[in-house]
Amino acid sequence: MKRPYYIFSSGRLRRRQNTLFFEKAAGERIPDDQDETGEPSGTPSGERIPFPVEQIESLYFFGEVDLNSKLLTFLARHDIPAHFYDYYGNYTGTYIPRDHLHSGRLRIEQVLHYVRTKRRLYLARAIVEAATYNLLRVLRYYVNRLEGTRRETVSAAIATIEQERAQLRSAEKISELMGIEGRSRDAYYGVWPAILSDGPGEAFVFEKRERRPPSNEINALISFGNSLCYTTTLRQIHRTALDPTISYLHEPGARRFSLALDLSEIFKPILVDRAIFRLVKTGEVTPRHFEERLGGVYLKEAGRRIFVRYWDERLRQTVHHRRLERHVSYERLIRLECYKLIRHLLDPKNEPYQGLHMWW
Amino acid sequence: MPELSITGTLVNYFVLCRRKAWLAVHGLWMEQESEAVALGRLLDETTYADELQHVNVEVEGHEGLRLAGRIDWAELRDGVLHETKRSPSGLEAHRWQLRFYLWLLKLRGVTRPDGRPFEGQLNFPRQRRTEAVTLTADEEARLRTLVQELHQTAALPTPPPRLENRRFCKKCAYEELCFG
Repeated sequence: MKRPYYIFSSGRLRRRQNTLFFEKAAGERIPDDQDETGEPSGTPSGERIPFPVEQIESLYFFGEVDLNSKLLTFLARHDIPAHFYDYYGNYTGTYIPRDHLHSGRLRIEQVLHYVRTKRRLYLARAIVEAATYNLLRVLRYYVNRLEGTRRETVSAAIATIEQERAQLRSAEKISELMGIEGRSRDAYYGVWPAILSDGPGEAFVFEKRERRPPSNEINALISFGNSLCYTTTLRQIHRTALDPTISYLHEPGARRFSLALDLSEIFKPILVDRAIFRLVKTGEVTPRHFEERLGGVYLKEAGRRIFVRYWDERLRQTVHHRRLERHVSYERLIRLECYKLIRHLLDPKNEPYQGLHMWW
Repeated sequence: MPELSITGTLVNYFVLCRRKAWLAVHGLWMEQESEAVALGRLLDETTYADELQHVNVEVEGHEGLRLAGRIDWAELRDGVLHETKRSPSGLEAHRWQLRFYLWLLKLRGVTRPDGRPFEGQLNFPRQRRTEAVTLTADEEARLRTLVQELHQTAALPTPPPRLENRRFCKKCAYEELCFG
């Protein structure tokens, strides 16, 4: 079974005959923006780790890694994408081997569903509908475990999101849908302190969602988790004939693969937010896993390792799929979401898209 | 719709499931991740390596239809076309795929040195079994209609419905695309 590999150490990754070798480097890594030479920060330590190329589904580079075009060619032959993160854990970009799954017909339908306002609105609405439903599912899970004012706070947020959702059907512009989504998320993040502030979670302060840079530990976790969700989704889209640049809720990407942003919305509550609650509430992640840099708060390497380990386990957990009559992993659910979208694009009347509603 | 070239694989798909054929015609191939298909490819590359392999045949069929075949391997002197398969499941579709290739040769006027038509053989190396396949006049007529039906199906604006019998779909590489 292929799976993603996450590389936190620094060093050099090279092709060696028909597999991969990681040569570890010793020494401190210099932050990317303080280095003007482009030279590797560390020196080879002599430690070599073989990598089984046949088992790699994708590579995540969190350390400082040297590589050459021979390696990229080799990765392309095995269809392995490589995701890069900078010194601070910000997502930098992805190397994607040349894509071989193309369907002209599907591409045309994707474009038509964007250009025709009604069709675009249908898909954007379905995405917001599912994303906000999953927000509610997360809150409903916690509201029963809370008492007193904290319970009331969360109940109030649930009511707010339900009111927002009631306006979905009458929304006639993408901007209105974005507004519903945004206000639902504000209400949702607004009650995180009520959910988190006991036990180990008391150590964290979270007032509101702030990005670029993340203003506190919880925001740093959300940003990091969302970027993992984005690359995981992108990876699944690339395994289909869908064009990741054509999207419906987000404006098609001048910068990003915006279809991955669209589909991530549905999975963020299920995958990212629940992971954060879990890691904070069990005390697995604590304030000492963060550092302040450039006016923002970021996860340190140890913290990233903890998050990624949990994320990876989580993606491989399974739930029972009723229609397929078997267990599928969380990661596979993202792929199935792509397939549902393809079915809609090919035949919107008979196979209308419905976003994933958490059913378990 | 771009001009369609009807291939042996499409004929095979069409006999199994019209929807699958439609999706493949429109560029949606699902086999890239199927372990069964990867195994089949490996089998194809590693068995019968000494024979003449992968012969491409193209013919203009009736009413301007383009027919194309990629024959697994052929013994030209003895006039036998071979098609290697991983297992006999979907046997009927395998037979029609091979008959389609026999038909292509006939349309091209290719015969054995003694003038008799080519014969077919399905090979199942894993099961160590073979099956002889020939092309009767009835089957030739059926292929003609099959190809026309395939052409009509391909021209449909939306994919044909899923099969009723999902047990059949359980082993299909397209299962998640149809039911997921």
